[in-house]
Parts: sequence; structure tokens; C-alpha cells
Amino acid sequence: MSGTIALAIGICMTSCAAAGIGIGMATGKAVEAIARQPEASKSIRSLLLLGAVLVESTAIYGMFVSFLLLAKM
Amino acid sequence: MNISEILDNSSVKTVFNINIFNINIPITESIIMMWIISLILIFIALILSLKLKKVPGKRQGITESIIEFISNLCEDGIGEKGKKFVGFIGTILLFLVIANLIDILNVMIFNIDIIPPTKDLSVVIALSIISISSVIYAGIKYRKFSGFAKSFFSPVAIIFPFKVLDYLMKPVSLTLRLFGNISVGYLIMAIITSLVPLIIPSFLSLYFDIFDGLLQAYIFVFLTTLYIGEAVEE
Repeated sequence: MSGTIALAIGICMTSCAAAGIGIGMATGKAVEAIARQPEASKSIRSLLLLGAVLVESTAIYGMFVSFLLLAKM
Repeated sequence: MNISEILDNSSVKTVFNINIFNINIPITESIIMMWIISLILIFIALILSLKLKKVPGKRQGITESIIEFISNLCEDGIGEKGKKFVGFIGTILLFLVIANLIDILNVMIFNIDIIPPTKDLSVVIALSIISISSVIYAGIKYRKFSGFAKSFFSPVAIIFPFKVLDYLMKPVSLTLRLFGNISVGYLIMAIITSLVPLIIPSFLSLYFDIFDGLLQAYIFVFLTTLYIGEAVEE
């Protein structure tokens, strides 16, 4: 049983990979936008931060679920 | 194993108890750390605000740049009503900055194990409840109760349960973000220092302690200003 739960925790951690891909894409686009229009960098930066925070919350939900699973082990 | 044990990391110790009218109030390590942080903040504030002049010197320049940073943050997030929230947002930002950075002192003082109070789940829950209730207060104050209640049904009436769910999930995600980042950073630093005690932890500490702590403090108040702005706008 505990082996299955450990596997489930491992699968939960794929949410980290998803969040990493998401933040990478958002940052890449933001760098492109700033390179094209350096004077708009301030508003782009706050939008990038907001997007990164929203993407990151998926990874945090994954961590929360894995904590819950760890309690059952 | 108990879930609260893991989420508390079972390391928040009770130092002493206070008995008032037969009600036992436990004073934990994180409360004492918060007292120390308040003392540090009061001390810094006294030093920075002593003898203010019309033509600012070096010391007054620091004070003014801190206050300008906070008021810019409020105006960007909230809008023209942002000036009213500078005190509240600034208090939370300065407290979180000192609270997240205080475990750097672990490197200098070897015998005492200093824990950041934001690693305690109940402290973070209290902070995000303060934040979400200030959002609701701002909504009711600036749009009247009827306007605020109407915003729950604003485009179509069917959206009401999702809006309620939104207000319930906001403090949860604020709490988990701050607590998760700080406690995982602390845990990783503890593991690395036990494996390689020399040189390498000092470089990793730059990211896990300083950069991550400052970023999470900024993100907490940034999201609070965005939520207040959303609740206040007509």
C-alpha cells in the first residue's frame, strides 16, 4: 500500500514540471516583448509576475495533495 | 502520521504558557520571533524617522525611497484610491521582508536555531485572513454594501457560486504559496547544510533565503493590492 502511495506522490510532482514549462514560456514571451518595446517594460513586468504567480499555484496545489497523501502513508 | 504534524513540520515548540482566568495560552517560538521582529522594526523606524528636514540627507533619503516604493506599489495595484492603503500594505510588506530574511542569522549564530515565523502555518493563515478581510472591508466601504453584494451577481446571476468560491480560495492559495515556499526553502537549506557544511550552502542561501524570501513577501502584498483593486473598482 505504501509503495502505491509513494508512486502517487511521484505522479503528483509532475505538476512541478508543468509549472516549470509554463513559467518558462511566459518569461520567454516577456523577454521578447521587452526586446521589441523597451519602454513598456514596467507594465510587462507586473503582468509577467501575475502570470508566474498564477502558474506557480498549480505546483503548490500539487505539493498540497502530496502532503495529504504523505499523511496516509 | 498526522497531517497537522507534517504541515507544522512538528518543529514549532511551545516555550512557556500564560494562564489567564483558567484559559491556557501557549506562547510558541514563532510568537517570540514575531516580538523580536516587531522590536527590530520599531528600532529601524525610530532611527529612520528621527529629525526629519525639508532638504533630505542620506538617512532621510532611505526613508523616502522606502515610502515611495510602497506608495507606487499601492497606486499600481489599486488605482487612485491606493493612497488610503499605504499604511496597511507597507506594514505587511515590511513585516514579511524581515520575517522571511531573519533565518540568515542562522549562519552567524551557531548555537541558536532561528526559525522564520512564516514557516509556522498558523502565522501565515492569520496573515492571509487579515488580507482577505481587508479586501472585503475595502469593497464594502467604497461601493456600499449593496454595490459590493451586487458584484457577486455582476454579469449574470448564475456566476454567484463561483464568486463565493473565488473569495474562499484566495486566502487558501495565498497561505499555501507563502508557507510552501518558505518552509520548502528552509527544509532544502537544512538538508544541504547537513550534507555539505562548507562553501556551497552560502551560494544556495542567496537564492533560497534572500531572493525567494524577498520575492514571496513582494508577491503576497502585490496580490493583496490586486484583490483590493478588483473589489474597489466600480
